[in-house]
Amino acid sequence: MENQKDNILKNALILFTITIIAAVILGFVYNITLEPIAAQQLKTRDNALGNVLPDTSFDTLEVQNQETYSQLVELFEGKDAAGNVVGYAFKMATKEGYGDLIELIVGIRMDGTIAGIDVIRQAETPGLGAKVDEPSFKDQFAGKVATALTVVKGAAGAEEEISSISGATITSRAATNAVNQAVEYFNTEIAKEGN
Amino acid sequence: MSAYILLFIGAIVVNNVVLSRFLGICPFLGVSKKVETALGMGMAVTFVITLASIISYLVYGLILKPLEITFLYTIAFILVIASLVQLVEMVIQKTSPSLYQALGVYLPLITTNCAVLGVAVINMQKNYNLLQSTINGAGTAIGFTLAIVLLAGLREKIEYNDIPKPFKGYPIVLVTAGLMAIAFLGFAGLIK
Amino acid sequence: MGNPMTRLKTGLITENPVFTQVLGMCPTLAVTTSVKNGIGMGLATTAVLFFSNMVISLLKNIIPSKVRIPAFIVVIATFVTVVELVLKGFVPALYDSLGLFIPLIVVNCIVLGRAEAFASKNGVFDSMMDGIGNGLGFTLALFCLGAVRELLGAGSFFGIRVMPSAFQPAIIFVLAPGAFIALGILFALFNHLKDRQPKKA
Repeated sequence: MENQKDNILKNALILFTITIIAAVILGFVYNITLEPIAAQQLKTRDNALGNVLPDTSFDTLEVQNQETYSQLVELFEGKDAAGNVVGYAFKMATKEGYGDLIELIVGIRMDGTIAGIDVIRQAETPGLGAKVDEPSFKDQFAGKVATALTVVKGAAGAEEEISSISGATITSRAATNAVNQAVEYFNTEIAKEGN
Repeated sequence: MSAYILLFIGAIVVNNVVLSRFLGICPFLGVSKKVETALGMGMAVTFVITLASIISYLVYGLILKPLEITFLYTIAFILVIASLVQLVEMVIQKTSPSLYQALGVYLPLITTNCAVLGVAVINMQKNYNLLQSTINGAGTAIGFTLAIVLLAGLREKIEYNDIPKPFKGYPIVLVTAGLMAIAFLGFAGLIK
Repeated sequence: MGNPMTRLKTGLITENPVFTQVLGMCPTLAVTTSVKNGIGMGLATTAVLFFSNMVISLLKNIIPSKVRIPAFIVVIATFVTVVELVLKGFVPALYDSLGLFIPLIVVNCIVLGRAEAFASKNGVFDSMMDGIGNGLGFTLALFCLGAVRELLGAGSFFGIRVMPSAFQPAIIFVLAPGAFIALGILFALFNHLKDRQPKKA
């Protein structure tokens, strides 16, 4: 009986040691990869910022009324070389997609038109929802006057309509709703005071 | 309240764990020869998933997060599940021999059922609170039971059919599961 | 235990983990919506298999048999987390599209299965070869299924459109039902070819 108890203790000890060693090793790897992971995330974000508002430098602004704008993660003010504000970029994150989070950057110019959108993270179904990151979908937004947009099946007719990706209405709607929230923020929080 | 009901129904049919999320395929294919065993497996899984959802939520929120070691979540969750399965096995054996006889053989298999770990990770990724995690866990598990029992019913029927030789065994089961998945696609429009 | 090439071939074809042992079905069905995802998942799993087989065969005399399964799981989970962090840091697009299924490599029955059936009983070198062989066998299966589904479901291969423009992609193949049906048919094909082989030889 005594022996058996010893054995259980010994087994538990070995298992515990293995787990501790594993955790320590992982701690090391985590620290090593911390920097590349952060750098990657910054790089994809900055690339997307450059895509929606080219030739601008960006300053981070504080988000107002965060509770109203649940999908707005970060807000940037874009200035040209002369220091004039040319527009704003919004980093949005939505849970409404089919897969994991969809993160996108929405650029809105000072004149109230959408400069463009770019997707920085998505895990939608390839061949369907993943097309959210293809020009055929993204380019629809560029140049539209910033008002509430709706998703329609088939070809979009009116100005405020976005044509859905075929077979992926959920994804299209999620992305468009995120854009709409950025637009709403621009219209109520920025355009009002600024001009 | 209605959000919780939607989450529950969504987890059962719309995002059915087996037929649309592809979790827990191994037991789905392996233990679905007879309705009776399928039901046993389903019940054992339901039990473990619901408990695992709650405990891994607590482990994540009370241990990993405060210590800032969230990157260890994979190890932590799988250890929770493995010990939980062991514990459940011991408790059932002691308290209810008849239940143990019904579920006992399936319990060890559950550790490697990816639906269990999958639900724990989904709860974490979606930032569900305790109630949402529990509801999502229970719904997912019921969805699993539903799928495996339905498949077992179909397999009992096709067993005596004349199937082309290369399709005998797993191929025909996979095709059957595919047809079931098409039927489940019909639920997709149920919840926006 | 035979020469290294036989080990490789065993895992790759004669005992292919997917088509003969029916292991690792969850990732097989879930991530094969495109060729790229399939290969990415296959290689990530191969890396985990290689290292976990290596470490487990090194530790086989230290680990008491009563707690071997939890011990194996800890070793496997460690390497899965390493792979997860590395992918996140260096191939973020692949990390995002594989998503949930990276942590789930832990419960891929192939990895635990090889640890229990091979690495815990054999030498380090053989175990490493076994890991690579089974990993590549898994990758091969994912590649086949990914190719079929991407070609039929999206009309492309590796993200490049190859089907003529008149071809209307059958979306069903990138959706869940297509995964089951395509794998079922591939499986039947594999059985058929295997049945014919002895007669030819």
